[in-house]
Amino acid sequence: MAWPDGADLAPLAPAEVTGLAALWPTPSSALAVQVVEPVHVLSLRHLPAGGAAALSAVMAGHALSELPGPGHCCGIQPRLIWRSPNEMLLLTQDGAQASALLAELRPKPGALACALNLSAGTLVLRLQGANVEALLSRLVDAHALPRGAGLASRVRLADIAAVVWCDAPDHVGLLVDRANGHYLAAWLSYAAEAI
Amino acid sequence: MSGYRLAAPAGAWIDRTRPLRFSFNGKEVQGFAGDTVASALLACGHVHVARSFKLHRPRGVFSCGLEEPSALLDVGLGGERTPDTRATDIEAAEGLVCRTGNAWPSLNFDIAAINARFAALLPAGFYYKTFMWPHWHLFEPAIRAMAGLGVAADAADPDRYDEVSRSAEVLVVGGGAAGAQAALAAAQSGAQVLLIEATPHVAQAEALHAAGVECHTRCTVFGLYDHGLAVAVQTVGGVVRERLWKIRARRIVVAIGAFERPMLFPDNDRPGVMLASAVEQYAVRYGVACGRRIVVATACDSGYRTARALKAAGIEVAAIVDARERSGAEAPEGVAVHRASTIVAIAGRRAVSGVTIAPQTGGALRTIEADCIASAGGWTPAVNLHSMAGGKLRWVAESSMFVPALTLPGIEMVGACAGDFGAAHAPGFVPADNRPSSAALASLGHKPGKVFVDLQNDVSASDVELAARENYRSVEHLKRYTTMGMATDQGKTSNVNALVLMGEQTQRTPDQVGTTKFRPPFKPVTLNAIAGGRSGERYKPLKRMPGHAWHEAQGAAMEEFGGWLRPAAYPRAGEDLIVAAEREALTVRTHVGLFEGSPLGKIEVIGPDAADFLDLMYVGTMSTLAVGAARYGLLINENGVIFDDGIVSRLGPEHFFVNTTSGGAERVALAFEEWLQCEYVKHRVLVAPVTSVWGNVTVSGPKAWQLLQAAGFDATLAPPAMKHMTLRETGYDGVDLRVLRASFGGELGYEINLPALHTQALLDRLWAIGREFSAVPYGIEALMIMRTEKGFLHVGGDTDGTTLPGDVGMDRGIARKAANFVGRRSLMRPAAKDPDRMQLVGLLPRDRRTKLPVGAHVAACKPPAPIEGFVTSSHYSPVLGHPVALGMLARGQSRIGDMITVWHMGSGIEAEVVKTPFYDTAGERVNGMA
Repeated sequence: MAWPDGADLAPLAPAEVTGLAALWPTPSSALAVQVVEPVHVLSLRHLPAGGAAALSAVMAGHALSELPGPGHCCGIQPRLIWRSPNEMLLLTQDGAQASALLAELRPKPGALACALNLSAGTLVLRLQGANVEALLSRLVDAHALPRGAGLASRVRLADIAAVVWCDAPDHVGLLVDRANGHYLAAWLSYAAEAI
Repeated sequence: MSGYRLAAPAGAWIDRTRPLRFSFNGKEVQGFAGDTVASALLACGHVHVARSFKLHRPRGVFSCGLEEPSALLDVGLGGERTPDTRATDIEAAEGLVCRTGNAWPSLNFDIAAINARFAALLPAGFYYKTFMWPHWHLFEPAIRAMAGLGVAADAADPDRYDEVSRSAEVLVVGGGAAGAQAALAAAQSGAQVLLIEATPHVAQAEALHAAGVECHTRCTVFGLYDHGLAVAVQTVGGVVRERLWKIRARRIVVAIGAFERPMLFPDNDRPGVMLASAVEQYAVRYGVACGRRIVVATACDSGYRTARALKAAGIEVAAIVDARERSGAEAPEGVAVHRASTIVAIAGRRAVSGVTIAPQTGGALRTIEADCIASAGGWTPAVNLHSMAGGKLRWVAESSMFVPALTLPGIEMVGACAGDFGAAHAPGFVPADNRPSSAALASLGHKPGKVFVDLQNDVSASDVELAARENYRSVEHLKRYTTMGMATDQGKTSNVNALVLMGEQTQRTPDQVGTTKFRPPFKPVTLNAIAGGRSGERYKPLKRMPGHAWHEAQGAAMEEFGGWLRPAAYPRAGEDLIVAAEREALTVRTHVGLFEGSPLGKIEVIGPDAADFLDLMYVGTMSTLAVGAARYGLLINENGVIFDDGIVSRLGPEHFFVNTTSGGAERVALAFEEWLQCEYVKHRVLVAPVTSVWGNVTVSGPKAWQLLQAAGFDATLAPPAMKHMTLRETGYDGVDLRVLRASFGGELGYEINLPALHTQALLDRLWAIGREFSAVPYGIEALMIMRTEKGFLHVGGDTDGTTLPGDVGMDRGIARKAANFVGRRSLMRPAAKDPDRMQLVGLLPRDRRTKLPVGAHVAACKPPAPIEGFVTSSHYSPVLGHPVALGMLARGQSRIGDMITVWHMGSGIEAEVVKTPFYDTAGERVNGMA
């Protein structure tokens, strides 16, 4: 792109809010908090009448025949997480797969299902270690936490909305609004210090 | 009373190998690990430790647990100080600093003790009757200054607090004999059991451990709530001072025991008068004799057990004074029992030195030398948690106690808190009224001392009688009139005695009088324990914009607006916020400004019925929007009241991009979902909040397009090609954009929506190029100036919970709109059409100099006077050179040209009612015509 004054301008590259990386809890063998980046987060929505079937058909076309039921997640790459009766989240690090799904499920007249790209507004974290449960018990109501592999739930985490899924008791995923990143980091660090 | 430490093995809870020292009112006190502050004070002979609330009478340790009404101390220093804390509930620790909170200048010489001499002037509710002449306010400051029992912390608390959520199959509250038994039984049946105990010790600890029961000591459940939620506070120590537990359990077993009920007799608040069970526990648990010669005053069989225990510990028991004629318990050998007798007087001014007893039928007095009175007036099962959970109570006349009436689903009461004391500890017959008879008091020959019912609040039997005489018969009125049962102990040792007295005064049984509602917390909890880590940046969720770092680099003064941290302005050296905002607003009017509007609410509305649905939600019509067009919309609730506004853009036939206010994004999305799920269930619509997904960089000002053009934006976005209130989906440097031509300040404006993570880069780029155009970053304050200059509505600022569309001049299209919409019917009500309603108008100060204060009232004469309106927005307009304001004014639109008076702090400011906008009345500047 040519600039009128020939200035050397930085590309329009994505940038995280500065300083966030330093705020996460100090990694240890018992607890590691890692931001998963880059990751594509798609919201797969469907309407009640026929929408689920339409979405399933599209997903099957992408070799995604197994869809999660309420309170569950499935797969790894991509990972599908049930979020509500008319929404699933798809997390993938495969950009081509995400683009293909977004193109196929672009909102258009008559469509009963669609996909929205939430990647830019979503922060995905991986929590690992023996202290994961102790950490989350300081932030989330114990009843709301998914405690078995393949379980997922929407939770209120330190007064913000989050999606939590469980791969193993010591391996949990967390998805929050990116704008809450600093607030979340402050809480995770504070809670980690109390363990 | 002169307490002392008993020889080992007495004192099962203390570790004599670990001595410690702490300070009490500046004096050193010695104790052992395991001691409470109270037990160490007693062991060191401290009798008089506090002063009472109102009369400042001398008070000593009365109990051995969290029910303590008298021994209230300020513990800790500076920010760590906890005021008004029970000495019986605080573990002694090396270096601890304790002070009596309610005595000045010292415990022994307390100026306010003079109150006791004027006690006749200070009965229950005295402030309703006395100190009225010449005026209550003359006395009020002094009375308020004397109220309160301690001194609050005077700095930020440096300690950290923890909060943990747990779930359990079975939660057992209380680790005494009944609790331990229940926990073992549950664990043996295979359940996952969590046991919470308030003290440091659990009964059958080894067996519980072996059975896999998870035990937490020093932990008190202070509230039981719906759906099996129990909340507890635990003293931790070390890194964490206190921990709040939120426990959800399928089944809860409550085994928290019972509180002893004191005997009522004259001067029963004297230091040295203690609950009998407390005297026993101090001996057994802490190895402390509370006195050298103890009299047991009882109306209950458990008084005899106390006497036996004290004898066994080697403490002299001078006598048992039993108010009853018969007892089912045996006195220890060698201890005289005075049946059907009562205490009528106590010797000793600051501590007990003897008692005078008399037969209940009257007759000869007898004096007994003693330095401690162990008072056993019966038992009060701790039904607090049961009641908090919604349980009812019933009165058992035989033992004079309230017990749980019915079993609650999922909650089980066991042991003493259920009224089950077991055969060995059965209280036997307990008279409800355990006061001395009038015959016994008459035999004294002079006026007896005050009989205290509630030690914490200095409520005497005569106060209860006064309340009854003045017809405060309801237990709730009794509580509020006398303050009985209030404050830190919540009447744990006083409520039943007060109910009995009120019943006798009003010819009712205690159950007919009833109890007040038991509410959390069961014991006082520090505010910090409840707050947990919610302080500083964890106080509440505060979102950061994707361009946050850019704003900080520009020197932004960040403030919270609608849950987001946003630049209020970018002050330069020597500027305050207002000056900076005025400079920014003026520069945007003359050149160009950059503003980050990322927090602006963004919702995608998709589906075959999306257009119809938006027609139902908005006052205006959205279904007629062409693809690529945008329209301002007003949202009202069912009552017709404005609750949000914003711009709706049509991206496709069945796809809309809805902007809301920054603070309203979540409530609008919720409202959409609620209407879809509850009312418009057949509408095929998907609502997706995407506020954080899209960043928003707004470029405003007459040179806005020049800047964008210089930055290489597509020529189709130029003002001639792209009309105001249209949206283009386009690309820029490989990034997908949604560019909306709209304006919140009345200037040519482009709202560039882009994936949030690219926001900072776009700001950097536009800022770099913008220097050529004298661009400035501008904040919320400058935006508000420009909005007000244009007379644009600020929902939440210019509106309140009563404002209807017609009040702000936005009802013009309603009559023509064919579709129904939320709130329409409410707008048809006569009240909505009342010509006297307040309406939004412009206001200009007559002198064109004085800024009208926001919130100032409009009135015909100096308030108090009927209010005609108020100022809602007010700024100095840098482009006009004088202040401008908006306000709500009764019949405002028909008063254009009128002069009104705006009142502020008692002074009137003359102002003119004018039409808006103040600036650019033709509205040409949005098209770049400067």
